[in-house]
Amino acid sequence: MLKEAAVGDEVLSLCGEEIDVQDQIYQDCVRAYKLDKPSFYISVNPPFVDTEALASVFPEGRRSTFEKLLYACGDWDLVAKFDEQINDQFRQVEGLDADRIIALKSIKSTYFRGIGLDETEGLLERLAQIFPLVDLEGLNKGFEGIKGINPHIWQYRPSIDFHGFDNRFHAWWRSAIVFDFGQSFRGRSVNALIKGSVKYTLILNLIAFILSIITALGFVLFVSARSSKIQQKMDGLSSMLLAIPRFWLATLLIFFFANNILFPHLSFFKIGVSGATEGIFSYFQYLSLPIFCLAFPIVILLYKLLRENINIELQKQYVQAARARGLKEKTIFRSYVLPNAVNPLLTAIGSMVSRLLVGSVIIESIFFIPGLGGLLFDAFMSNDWPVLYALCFISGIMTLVGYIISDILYFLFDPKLRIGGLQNG
Amino acid sequence: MRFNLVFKCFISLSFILLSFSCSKETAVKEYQRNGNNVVVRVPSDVRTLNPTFAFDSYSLLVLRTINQYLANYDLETQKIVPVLLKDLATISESEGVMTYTMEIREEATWDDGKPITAYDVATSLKLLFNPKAKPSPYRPYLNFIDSFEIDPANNKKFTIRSSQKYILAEEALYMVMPIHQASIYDANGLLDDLLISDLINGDFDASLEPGLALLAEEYNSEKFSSDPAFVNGSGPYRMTEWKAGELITMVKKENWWGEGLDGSNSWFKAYPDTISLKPVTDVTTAVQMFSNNEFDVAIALDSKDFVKFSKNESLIEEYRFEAEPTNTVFLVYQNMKSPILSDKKVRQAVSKLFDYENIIANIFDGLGARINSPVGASKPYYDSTSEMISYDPEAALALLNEAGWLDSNSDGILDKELNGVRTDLSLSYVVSSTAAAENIALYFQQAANDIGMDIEIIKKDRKGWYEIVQQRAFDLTMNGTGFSPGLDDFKQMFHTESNTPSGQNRMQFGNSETDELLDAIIKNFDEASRTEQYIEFQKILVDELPLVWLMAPLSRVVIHDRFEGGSSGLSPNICLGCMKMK
Amino acid sequence: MVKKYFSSIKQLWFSLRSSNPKFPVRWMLVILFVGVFLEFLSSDKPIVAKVEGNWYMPAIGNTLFELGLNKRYNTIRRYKWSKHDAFMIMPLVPYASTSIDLKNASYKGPFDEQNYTSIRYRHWLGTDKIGRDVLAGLLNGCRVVLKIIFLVGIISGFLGLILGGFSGFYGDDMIRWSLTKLLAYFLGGILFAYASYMLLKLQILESSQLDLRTLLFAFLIPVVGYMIVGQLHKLIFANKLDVRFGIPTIAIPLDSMFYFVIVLLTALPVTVMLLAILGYFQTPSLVLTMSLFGLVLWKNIARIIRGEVLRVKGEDYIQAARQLGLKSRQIFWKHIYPNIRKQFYVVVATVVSLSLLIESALSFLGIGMAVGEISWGVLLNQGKLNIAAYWLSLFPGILLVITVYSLNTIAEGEKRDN
Repeated sequence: MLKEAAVGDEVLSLCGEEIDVQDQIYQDCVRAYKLDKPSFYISVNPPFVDTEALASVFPEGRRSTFEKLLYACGDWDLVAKFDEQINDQFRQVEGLDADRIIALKSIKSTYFRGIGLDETEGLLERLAQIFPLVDLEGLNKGFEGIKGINPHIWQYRPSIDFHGFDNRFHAWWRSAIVFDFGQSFRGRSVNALIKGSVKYTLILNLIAFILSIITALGFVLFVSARSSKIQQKMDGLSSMLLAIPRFWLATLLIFFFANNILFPHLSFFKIGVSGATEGIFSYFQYLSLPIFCLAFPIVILLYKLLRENINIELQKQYVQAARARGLKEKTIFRSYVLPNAVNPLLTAIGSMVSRLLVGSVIIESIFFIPGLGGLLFDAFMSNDWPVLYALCFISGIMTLVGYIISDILYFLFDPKLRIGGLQNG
Repeated sequence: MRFNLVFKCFISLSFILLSFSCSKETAVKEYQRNGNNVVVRVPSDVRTLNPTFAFDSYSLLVLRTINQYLANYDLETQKIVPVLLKDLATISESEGVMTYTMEIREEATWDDGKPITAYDVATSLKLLFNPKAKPSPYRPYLNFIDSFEIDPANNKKFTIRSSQKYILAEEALYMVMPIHQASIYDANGLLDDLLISDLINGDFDASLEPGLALLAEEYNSEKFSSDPAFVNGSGPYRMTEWKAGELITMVKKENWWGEGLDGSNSWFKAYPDTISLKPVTDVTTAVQMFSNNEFDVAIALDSKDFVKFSKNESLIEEYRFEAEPTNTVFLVYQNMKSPILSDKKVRQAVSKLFDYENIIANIFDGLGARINSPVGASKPYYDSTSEMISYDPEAALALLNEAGWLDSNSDGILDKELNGVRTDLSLSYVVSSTAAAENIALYFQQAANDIGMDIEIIKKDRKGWYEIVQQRAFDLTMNGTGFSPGLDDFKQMFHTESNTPSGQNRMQFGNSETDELLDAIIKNFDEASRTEQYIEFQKILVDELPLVWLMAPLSRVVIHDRFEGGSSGLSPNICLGCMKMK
Repeated sequence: MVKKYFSSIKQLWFSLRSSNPKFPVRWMLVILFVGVFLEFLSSDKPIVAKVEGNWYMPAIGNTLFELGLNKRYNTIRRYKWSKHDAFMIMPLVPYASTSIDLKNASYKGPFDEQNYTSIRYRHWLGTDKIGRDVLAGLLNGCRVVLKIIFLVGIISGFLGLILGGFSGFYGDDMIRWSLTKLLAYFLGGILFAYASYMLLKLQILESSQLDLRTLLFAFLIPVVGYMIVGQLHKLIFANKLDVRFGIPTIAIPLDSMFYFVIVLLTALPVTVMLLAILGYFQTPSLVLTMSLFGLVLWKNIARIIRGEVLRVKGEDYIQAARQLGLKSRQIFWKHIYPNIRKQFYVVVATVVSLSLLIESALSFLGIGMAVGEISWGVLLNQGKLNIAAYWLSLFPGILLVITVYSLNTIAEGEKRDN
């Protein structure tokens, strides 16, 4: 629905830039992409608006003018008639000399820009100059009729129109469910674009994820076994590190490690992916920096969460009991504290999956990896709505997937759930 | 402890990977530097290889390498040279009908051995006008064709007639459509019986429509826009692979018919064995990749990076840095119908407030040249008597004062009574989202503020900018445009009939006199009088100043030193085939 | 009223001082100071000048402009005072964040040769591509931080507090409405929503894009409308008719509705939606972006507030207050709110630091930047374009990290303290 108010005639974007709007091809395009249907199942509008008919008025500029006139006067028939008459006028180019044709074209494009009442009046005057004869009387009468009416505010009362399933929203969802997202404004099908980009994002994020979990666990174990002074310091450090934004880190890393000009000796890493096809070792070169940048905040976050939870767990009674029983610190830690501390982590992991896409945007645009994040960014920059919608949709699905994953993980990790709350242990 | 194990694994793994990649890297580098294979960085991916819809320079670049045109601008000399034709067309006129007679080279053949004939030319032109196909914006350039006749005695010879007199018609015939092989593009010969003129006028038998629709669908499909099995034409290279967004590869054909045919014609130069284009949109990444020797050629580098590289010692040894004058121009439109800018003196003052030297030096890192006319300085009809406008805020202020703009209420801004209302001198400057446009606007704003002109910078994205420009809802705005190396048709930009929302006359310039002048120029086949007319028009432009000519950027091309040649003044500033290994 | 306000600020101040390590608080004070007194520290106009016998304070003009009290113009033009032999005191850094120094453009670093007339005009932290001073940009960034804090803090804080607090307080069955009231609100809701819709639609018809002001109106109409309907209902129906006809009352499950909304919002891919919405507004501006953040981030706050309210609700003194006959609204504001205030500030601080990071990220990518408003993210964006110019990436990044860290630590400290 945002699309409606977006700038630009989407028909032109979809079907090619310079079609003459009265061409048959335009109409065919419209029908093919179902753009002449209303946008939702129901619409609430003043009663004088016939939504379905309105939706089939093309192009967008003409519809916009139509709407403005309509809302100015509140009488559908008058405006429809006027619109038809004026468009007929535009089609009559036979027998006119070149100058007049140009003037007519100019008037037509102004009309199709979406103008209001006053401008239409001006247009009619200009028309009169071109056609000093002919059926302008009908037009002028029609326009006077429109101008004359000053609709009462009661006219604007809401009335509901039902459109059934024949609308764009439904159509989009129907195709989205089968993963057909239509045509991008930049010429290729959305699916093709997405397919090309998914693999990079997936690889990067998966590896980053796994690595970060392992590293975070490693760090936590390492720190927990040390003295409390070190623990405090590390915790403090992690707070500070958490404040570092990913993109800044990426810029710094590039500056030091990938910058062939300033630090050719240090610069071992590279950016981009085109060379990454040359073998798994160059993968390392190209992908380690982005993976590091992706993983870094995750590691810190996981570390912090885990440490907090461990501290909480350590205060609990069963730990004291275990100590009293004489179990070794290490065993307590490994067998009791850790599994329990991990639980809240799982929710965090689930939510991280949903933020995958977004986190990638920044990293991918810096390291130039043509993944989903880069796609999102490009689509945003070029106002490519079909791609944006598709990505929103995918993002929503990812969130759901994330929750499902965390549920599954819970199931796996929490014996209580697994055995279904059995014995009171 | 678990941790130790994990840690050790990690360290050892990374060591192994490190050691391996080091050695691999050097091997790769060697390969790249020595082969007769060119890897080019382009700033954006090729959009489509269907010539009726290719506008961006890089699609055209590839198209021109795998296809051929009847004739084209030589990439190195910028003169029109015959490519598929034996010679340039013979033109004659009789009773108001222009006749263009052309003959295709004898040696010209398709990959399958069949000769290139006028029949292929006719089919290619008809494809453009297939009414069932998506309308191509190239149609208006060729719809002057009235008839197309193939010489019955020589199927490589043909004649085109037109009753419209237009100095650029010849160029259009040469360069709008590349020639496709009819047996591939219209395998069933559907277009055979149709006359081009009928197609143009929409005058044909309705029973042919379904066939045409089918043909159109095929033509507009992926098959003819990206499939290597179908898109390749008669050019020296064959596109073998196109991984969208990553790589497009072209391989030299063996036994190409044009091999060694004409040594001086850049279109017959095809030295490299393979050419690969890698689209790298992000400039920073491109810079990184470039400094890691991943490209042999880089086009359209940022000027700052270009300069930086050209000073880097290690890179100088390996690469050549070419900066040639181009036909692109950056200019600022002044909306002549806006109330304040309708005064000529104000426009002249505005033109004095751009610090041209600093703009070229800072924003374009010195890689630009001053210009003062839409006509290129090397053209025979360039008005060399016109002076360059210089940055002079004092003079600008004097002009404004002359025009009646004074600071009557001492609030720091000049004002004047317009239509009885005291108005402040405030102009809106709309920029689209490129950094250069923004920076130029900021420079201008500072200079203008200093003398008392208020500038409001409105930033819009590309689409919003376009809408504003269409509605002429701006006072000043910047844009870049290009002019052709051949004859100029200024109607597109300066005629009042182009002052429509989608037209190019965004300055709303023109009156009946200038219109007459422009109309006369494009019909005038007499060089001497035409030159006079061009000069007259340039003088008008200098006086009225609808445009502020910022500068013409130089091309920024970096070519690996093992190749010689390859740079070109024509966009996109590179001649792929001309790169010869030393 | 005012006294209460000040006392709460004093309270906040003391608690900040006591529960936190000194550094973060001091740092935020520095930011506050720089943000407010920016013109004294960095501007291209003098703080005070005497030209031709008149005294001027041009730099302050900029502050007034930001607050909306002044036009953009100035009473004294630059070349006027540089020409005449005027007495003037220039600010510490004699450049505004937007002033362009043509002599030192093209990325001059702090240690490079610079081209200046007197050492006062040296760019101590370098310049960016077109010659804007980095130090001035950093200082302006402090002001931007303040703007973010206020805009996002107020919008999201207000929304979160009201929505989260009320839903936690009223729970699922505290609000009982008579059917008539329900009906009135329902119909009224539809009517007002429709009115807003019409307003927005007419606006789109006019100018094919949305204006921030109209959006504000569109949001206010339902709110105001609801209040009016509530009053009307009270007047007409409440006591007389309902009692007369024995109209049943229904419990409004405020809490469940709230939860439903929260879950829905959390499921939505926030940043992606943000991008989509931002792309729709053609003219970027800081106010716009921050308002959007506020509108999107309130759910974080609401959740926490709701939890806190639930916690405090169970306390004894609340029950006592109820017994004493205090009305619900009074209980909420006089008793519950003061006790959750601390947590409220905490969570607002978290949200603010988050939005600071997001704003920097967006500016870094080039989205949502208005021309002329320099923030740390914008400087980082410049730094990305030329990675060798480390002064553009290093300094803003460090400041950003420190600020975010301070906000986070303050938030944590408060949390721990409670």
